[in-house]
Amino acid sequence: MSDEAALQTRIAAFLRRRRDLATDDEARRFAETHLTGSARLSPVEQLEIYREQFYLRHTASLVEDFPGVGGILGQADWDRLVWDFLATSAPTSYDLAELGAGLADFAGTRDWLPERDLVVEMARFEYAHLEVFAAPDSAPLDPAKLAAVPEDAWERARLQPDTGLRLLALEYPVVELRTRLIQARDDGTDAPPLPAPKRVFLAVHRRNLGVFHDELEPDAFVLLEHVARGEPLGLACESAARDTGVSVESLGAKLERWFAEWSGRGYVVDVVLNAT
Amino acid sequence: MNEARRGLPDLGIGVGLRVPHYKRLFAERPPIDFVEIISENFMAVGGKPRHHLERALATYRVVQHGVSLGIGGPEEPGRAYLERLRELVRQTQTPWVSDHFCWCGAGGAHLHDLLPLPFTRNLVQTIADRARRLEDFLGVPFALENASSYLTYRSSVLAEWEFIAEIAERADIGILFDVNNVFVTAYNHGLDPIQFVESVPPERIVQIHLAGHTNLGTHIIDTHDAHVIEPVWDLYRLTLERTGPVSTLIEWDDQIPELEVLFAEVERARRERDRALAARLTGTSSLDAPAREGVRKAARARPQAVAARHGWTQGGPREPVTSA
Ligand SMILES: [Fe+2]
Repeated sequence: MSDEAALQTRIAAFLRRRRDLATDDEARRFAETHLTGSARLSPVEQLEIYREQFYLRHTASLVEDFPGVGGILGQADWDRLVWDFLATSAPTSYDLAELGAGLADFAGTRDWLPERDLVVEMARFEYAHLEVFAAPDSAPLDPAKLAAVPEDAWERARLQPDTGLRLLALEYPVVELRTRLIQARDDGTDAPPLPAPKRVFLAVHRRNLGVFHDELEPDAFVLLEHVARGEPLGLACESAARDTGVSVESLGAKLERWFAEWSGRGYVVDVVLNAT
Repeated sequence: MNEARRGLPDLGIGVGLRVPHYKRLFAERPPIDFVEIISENFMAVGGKPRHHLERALATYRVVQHGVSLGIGGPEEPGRAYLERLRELVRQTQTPWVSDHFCWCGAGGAHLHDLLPLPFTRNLVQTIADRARRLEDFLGVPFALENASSYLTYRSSVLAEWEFIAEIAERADIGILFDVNNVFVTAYNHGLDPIQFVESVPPERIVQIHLAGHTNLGTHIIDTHDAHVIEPVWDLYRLTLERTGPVSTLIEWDDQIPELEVLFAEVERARRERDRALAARLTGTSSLDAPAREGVRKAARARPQAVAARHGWTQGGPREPVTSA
């Protein structure tokens, strides 16, 4: 490693420290050895400018991306969570929108975190918005192609999910809670009470440039999950029947209606035949 | 090669394309010489970013400027990033593409900052090699911008202007000359801003940036959140008197004002530019000795009022993720 690279590697580590570097003896010694200071600032004060900017910039980005998590936690616990997160897991992507990719998993490992299960689910829900927001655009399902599928080919057909679709089975009603938390934040009123657990099956999906969250019937959700994993339709029905306890016949009876909904909303963008 | 601007066109006075202005820009389509986009804001392949990029391309001349390359960092810029950058270059047909003399992270960490470099011979070589390869890879002229800085290294053996000039010459690339950054850096490190401007090879300058900043007394942070200050206008004219006409961009990334305010800043730039180019024609300068001393003094001064500190991000706010 060159002298420059070694220097940069050490600086990068200092800039992610949680504490003001001016109060950190190691940082002060390092700065005095390698930085000049100026007429107005000492070497360590120069380094501290960048450390402070690192936290200001990244916490601002997370505040914007996770208003629901912030609303649940309130300022003090939110600060503790995101500062720990930034100090523990360095941002790795040039894209700030990917900054919170690991936040849900990280929150899940924090024993001190109040409402931990709810926070983890809210973080997953909110990050799904970011994932689908700028996902590649897909052309809608071609009705002519659909009409040309022979009746007996459906069982082995695979349905291609839209890249802008995320399926989330959650234990809390996060959609409504998030809306109310954002409303309370914008109005400057008290945060709403936190809800009791309630199972919800969500499709977070981008269409017409907007991000939607549609609540799905439980058996439709499970089937769609198997379909989205690339299972041929017949197999996906069997898998869903096994997971839900609902009979294949019963699922099959509802499939036409579900399929119309999935293709109408753009969850499914292609039908692939000749699947083996 | 001594051709002005490396033979690249003078596009006039442009503005940075920023989210709060989308609605009016795309509805009213006011005339603008060119717009500069932050490459990273449009590297996502679909959704609103792509939609807005297509609208911008249909309406304006677009120039691309990046903030994540980190050309002076310990590791080579990532392949996936470069490939995506090249795709965007092909899509936008940008006449040149730029980033900064800086580093952005180490050991896989990306700090989303333009971190200052030690001005060493070793880094001159490393950056020149990388820049040359990058220009070949991207297939368009490449330029690097002098960044603002808040610290300096004991290991630097060159002045910043020497470092910049030597890399640009060795790699045969352009310089994006940020005149506000010259002032910020001069203020922060006790340098002479006039000497800085007069030491950069004028024929290498392919684009100029102008912006406002936040003076905290002990140092200036390059926040791009205010009007260009008077001494920076002086440095701008001084630069143009050396270069001749060069595409100039107003950067406003935070506390973003209404379009009218931004366009007034564009018109101010046009007047300053005309004044400089007129002086150039007659072989004179719009800055006499006392004016030059005034700029130097401003870079040494400690202002009375001290602004509050806050974070900032190159390229303004990201597009909000709106739910339906
Ligand atoms: Fe700039």
